[in-house]
Amino acid sequence: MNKIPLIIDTDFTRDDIVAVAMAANCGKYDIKAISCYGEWFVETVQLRDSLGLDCPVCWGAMKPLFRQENGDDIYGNTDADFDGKTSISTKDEDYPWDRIYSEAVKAQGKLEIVTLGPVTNIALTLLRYPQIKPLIKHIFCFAGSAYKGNILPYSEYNAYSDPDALKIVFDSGIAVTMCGLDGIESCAVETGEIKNIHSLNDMVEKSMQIYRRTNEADVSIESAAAMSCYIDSDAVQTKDFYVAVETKIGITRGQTIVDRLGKYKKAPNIRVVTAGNRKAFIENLKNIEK
Amino acid sequence: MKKIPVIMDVDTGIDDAVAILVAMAAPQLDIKGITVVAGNQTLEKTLHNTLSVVEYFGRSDIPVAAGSSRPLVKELQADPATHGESGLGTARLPQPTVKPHSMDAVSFLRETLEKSEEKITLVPVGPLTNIALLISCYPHIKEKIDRIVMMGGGAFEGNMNAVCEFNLFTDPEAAQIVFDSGIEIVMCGLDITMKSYTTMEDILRIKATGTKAGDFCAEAFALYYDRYVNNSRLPGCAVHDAVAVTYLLHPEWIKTERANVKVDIDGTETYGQTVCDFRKGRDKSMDNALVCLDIDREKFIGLLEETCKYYK
Repeated sequence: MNKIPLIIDTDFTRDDIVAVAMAANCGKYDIKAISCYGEWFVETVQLRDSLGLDCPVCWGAMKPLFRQENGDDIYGNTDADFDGKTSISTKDEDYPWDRIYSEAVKAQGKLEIVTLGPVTNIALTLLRYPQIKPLIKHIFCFAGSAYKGNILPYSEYNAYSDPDALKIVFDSGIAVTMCGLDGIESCAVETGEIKNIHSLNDMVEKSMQIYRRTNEADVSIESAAAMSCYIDSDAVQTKDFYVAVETKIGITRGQTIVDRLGKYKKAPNIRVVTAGNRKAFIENLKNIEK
Repeated sequence: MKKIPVIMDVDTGIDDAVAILVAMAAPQLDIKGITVVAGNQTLEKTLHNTLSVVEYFGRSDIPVAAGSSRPLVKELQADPATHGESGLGTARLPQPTVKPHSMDAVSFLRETLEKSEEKITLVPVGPLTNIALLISCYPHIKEKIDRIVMMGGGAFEGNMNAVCEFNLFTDPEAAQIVFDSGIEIVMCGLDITMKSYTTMEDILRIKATGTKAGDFCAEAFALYYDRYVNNSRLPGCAVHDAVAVTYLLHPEWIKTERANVKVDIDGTETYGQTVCDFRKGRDKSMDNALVCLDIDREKFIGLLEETCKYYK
């Protein structure tokens, strides 16, 4: 089977570590690059090396596109203190937009992108190289929510962190799937269900330890749940909607307005994951054992 | 004399064309290139006009690179009412034979700045789309930018509405990126450019130089002058973009004041306003711009006349 050429964009939160391992080990993807948002470049290189990937890690935006003074640019909370040397090399010197563009050209329309954090790097790619649009097959974003939010009543953290960037991606005309909190929450698991899932990879295992030790009844390994919805797209429920993004500063900043009732009278622009698949998620999570 | 290395960024445009003429005639400047953006007209037209101007006035050696065809977020709203369908009013220049540079504007700016041993001054006189993309995508390049001497904004007046000037109105988000970049900015906004107007008498003086530049300016100004005299309080037409170049050549003609300038992109009424903080009690360590407020207009007109004489 031909592997799917894939770019993963991450802000390297704890759940992202699990998500990247899941994608790297599942065997379906040829990971062409990992692009980073925020300050966790070195750690992302370490993760790349520990997973035995030979793709470049590209360090991109540190802050949202606009409103940087007001924007929330605190990201990455791995509380990780990883040992091990890093092997940053010349292949890691590209900016994400340059690398994504060249990989898109090489893949001749087959390139897919999964985003696990704010989508600033992807928006900058689209602004920098508008001609890339027909060359990207699919962008799958862990961002947004159709109903409830987390950082604000209706706003999810990744969307809130750079709503302008998300709007640029959503309005791009590229096939975009939004896997927001609706998809993620249906993949919440009980600690008992993950107590026997261990990884031989130190970084991944340290992340999993924290999830296994949590006292909450439901454990949400958010980015990994989103990645599972991407990997097993046939196993999840989706529906196409027009989705608008609120970008202005205020209590609705970052709200993804999923037009369920057709009030905008606009053609759908986004495939929304309305429900994930817990069973598929747990099966996919076992990939990290490899 | 040590020349000031500059790269202009234009959306040519009548006053852009004049700004390019002033810059190309100035012995003080070393023009490393001109990048082009959509604004006064579509990119196709602003690029065509820029190539026409550099070639017709004998400077095909200056690389001209094509940039963004639309603002970062908003849709392009060109201004044919002011600049005409072609972008150069009723002036007609020969079809250019020179081709644009093989690189796009952002790549050209990046490479030119990276390779330059000295810092370069950027002179954007259109929407700031190209410059915003440059510093967002290649932030390491900021240290090679000496400063940005730009036309746009206004501390105390607008032209698209009460508070917003055309270049800022066209791409407010790009302008915010540039003003928040930490790069030192000289802002030639409407406060000074609306004082930099040419009356009919001035236009006749310019035409009387009898040069091809004099003829070109007089033709380009024909409709432009009418539009200003009919729609503004001015007794002539403002040559906005030439003011930024004039600042580089003759800062002593210009009254400035330091300020902390931010660009609003969240207001309903103030979207695209350059919010200039001149208050005495402000934190002056945050000042990022020199705001130009007034000009010796007679000297400015004299410079335009001398510029035209240069193109014999």
